[in-house]
Amino acid sequence: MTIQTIPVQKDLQATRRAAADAWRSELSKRGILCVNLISSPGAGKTSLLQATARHWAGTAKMAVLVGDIATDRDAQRLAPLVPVRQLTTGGACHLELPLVQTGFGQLAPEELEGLEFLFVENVGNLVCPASHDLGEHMRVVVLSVTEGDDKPGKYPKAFRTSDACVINKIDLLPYVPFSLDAVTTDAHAVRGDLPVLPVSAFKGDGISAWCEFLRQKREEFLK
Amino acid sequence: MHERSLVRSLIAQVNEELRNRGLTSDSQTSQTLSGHTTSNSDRLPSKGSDPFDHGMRTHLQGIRLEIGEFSGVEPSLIQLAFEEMALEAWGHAVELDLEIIPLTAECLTCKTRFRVEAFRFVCSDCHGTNVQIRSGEQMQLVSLDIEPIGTSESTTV
Repeated sequence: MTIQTIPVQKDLQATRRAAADAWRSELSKRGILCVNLISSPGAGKTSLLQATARHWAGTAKMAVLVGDIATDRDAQRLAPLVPVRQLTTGGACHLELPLVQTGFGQLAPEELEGLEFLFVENVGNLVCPASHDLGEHMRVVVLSVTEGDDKPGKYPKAFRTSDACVINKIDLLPYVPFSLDAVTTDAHAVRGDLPVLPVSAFKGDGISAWCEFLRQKREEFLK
Repeated sequence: MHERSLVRSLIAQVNEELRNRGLTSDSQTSQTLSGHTTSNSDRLPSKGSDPFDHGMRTHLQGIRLEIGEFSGVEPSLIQLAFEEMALEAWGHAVELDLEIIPLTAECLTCKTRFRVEAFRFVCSDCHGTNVQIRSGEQMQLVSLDIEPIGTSESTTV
């Protein structure tokens, strides 16, 4: 018998994209800005969230869903400050939407009441998280100065799909060969309009500018 | 490393496309198909109206897939995962024809459309960075190659 070709033309990502879009608009309706934080391990995502929570000190209502392959160490660090749920992937190198939705569903009604910012702290990895839409309004990539200023071009998808770049650990700039100008130029070759925000989550530099940036973005997205 | 989960959804999509056209793959095991046949028969008053009863039995020969250069998956890993998972799904080898779609963008300032080289999203003409991706992010199931064998009625009785 002869071979027949059946034309199909189906987008394999359509179902996932539709699910992420639906989740995004559900969060918008509730007045929640969702921020997906991605970075390599140890860049300081949890420290940034601790600094953010301390800066706001209850003046903005936030909650965190924190993803890791194992342990609830990050959730333990954040629990004294803000409502947090640990998402344990059991080996997977990135978060996917259903796990995020499960974690969100575990937040108590009083934690959800008036919630303004939902942070999803992804598994430390600059590769796979870049390919998974978690229904966030903004993706923020965190890069610390000890990692080197050549990283945007090496992980183009992470930087191209992000809506802001936080440069963390700037208190260490005197001790490491890292140029803020060089990293900004490299990041802008990947995404020309990427806002670059230098901070030290440890010392507190740049945290008020970062928090103000988030408030502005919430106004923009949810107006 | 999410190539396996992509291949899993590819296989599910292929089976759905075959089902929607009333086709069955020759080596899809009865357990894969009987679930559908049973549930459909349960709901439908006449067994004869179940498309699977008259389903054309086919041999799935090949799958054509377009993968964007910037889709975030590695074609060689897709091939490896597919070889293994196609055997599990259909019981025989199926050819996967992968076409890599180049990453192109359009400059929103001067309207030049250009090939993005080395992931530098900088206009080849005016060197502006206000650019939008036009191709290279997709994962598209393009077509299926099948070889008809006969109807299920003639082979199952």
